[in-house]
Amino acid sequence: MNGYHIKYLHLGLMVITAMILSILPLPPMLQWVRPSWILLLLLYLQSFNTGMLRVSFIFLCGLCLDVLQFCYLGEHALALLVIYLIMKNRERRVYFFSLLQQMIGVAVLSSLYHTILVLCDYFSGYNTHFLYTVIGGSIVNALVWPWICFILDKFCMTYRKN
Amino acid sequence: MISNQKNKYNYNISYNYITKESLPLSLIAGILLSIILIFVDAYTLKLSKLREFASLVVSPIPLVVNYPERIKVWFGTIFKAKQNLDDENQRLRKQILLLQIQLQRWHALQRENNQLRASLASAAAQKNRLIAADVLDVDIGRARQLIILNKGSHDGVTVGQPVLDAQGVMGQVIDVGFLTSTVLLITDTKCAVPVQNARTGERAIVVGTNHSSELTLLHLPKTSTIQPGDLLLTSGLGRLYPAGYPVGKVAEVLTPQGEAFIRVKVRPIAGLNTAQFVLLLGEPQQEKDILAEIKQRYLMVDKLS
Repeated sequence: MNGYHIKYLHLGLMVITAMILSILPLPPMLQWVRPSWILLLLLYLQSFNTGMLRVSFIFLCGLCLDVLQFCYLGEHALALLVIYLIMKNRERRVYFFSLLQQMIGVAVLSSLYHTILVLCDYFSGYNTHFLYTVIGGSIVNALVWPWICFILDKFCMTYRKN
Repeated sequence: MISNQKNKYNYNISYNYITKESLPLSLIAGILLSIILIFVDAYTLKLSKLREFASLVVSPIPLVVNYPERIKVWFGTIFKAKQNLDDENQRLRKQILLLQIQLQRWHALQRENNQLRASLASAAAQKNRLIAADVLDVDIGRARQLIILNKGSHDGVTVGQPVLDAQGVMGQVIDVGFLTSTVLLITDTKCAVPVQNARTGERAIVVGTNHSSELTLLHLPKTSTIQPGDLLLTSGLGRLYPAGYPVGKVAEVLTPQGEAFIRVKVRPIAGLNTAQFVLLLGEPQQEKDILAEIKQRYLMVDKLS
């Protein structure tokens, strides 16, 4: 039996909420500190709801993000799948890490995620600020991670499959 | 090996432990497919249908994001004091009257212009088709300067259409979905607008800098007479934007030592961050026919060569 803890409907709601937060209008200065909501959600699901995510689902989430943020198709899908590949077979270790260690891990994975996106931007001719995007984005994701865990823990406990 | 253990929700779950780490074929295929999609989307237009379908699927999300703004505006109109409404009514009436007077003068100038063109055997200026749209989303972060509009191919929007607001040029449509379309703002580094100085007639190209309040003019020689305060209008060259629409005002002119060209900073006139309603300009039908004929001739020449 796999560890499916929440229904697919609630998974869909979480993904849609993450996408809305990903494109919510922010003042120009705050654009740099927007967390990567979809990445954080997928990291949480992969770590604490092992077996729920499928490659096709992650790929489709990435494609939707590409369309919403008007990137080349496949950019976010590639970044999310690479993170999934790295976390695969290591997700169960997250249970044994302290919160600080989890935050450091999230920061490292976020920096890789943003690096892939920045490289794709450079490839498509856009001039993204590397330090702000990679390091700033990683720090923000690490700081938001405890809150994500707290909120999603509550959500999953409330809507778990019996 | 199967192991039973309790997870942090106190569920009994069992895992099938695989002793050797394996890489699923689907994951490798997914990564390869993503890389292929990036290259195909970057170098060809073959994925435009897929993008259009995907934008139709995700189109409710920008609409949901835009709803709080609409609710705020709706509440604002409901709770506005009667005195404020009366004052606004008076102000708008005066504005309409002034615009009508200016319009009369404009009609007279247009007639005179057409007569002069006819006497010089030039084609008369054609009327542009207009589509009004609301701005759903503004994306001016990271490396892009984009806005999303609530009109798409369903409403007759096409790729390449210029977009204006009440003050001036905002940008150009670069992607059209069924219900929404994406506009590249003139402040994006990938956008270049052919302009003409309203005072001197000098032509140049203005490009974006990824800052929402700054553009720059390219390759102006040191002999240029441009000065701060000059108004830049679209020149109509390249047939991207019709001629005569305001783009920006010159903010600063710098003459760096040892460089062949002067550096000119331009402030865009259009409210790129603040515009809520925009207009999309369609091509006049006669110009569309001329462009189609030119395209056909180029294809014939390519086939012959």
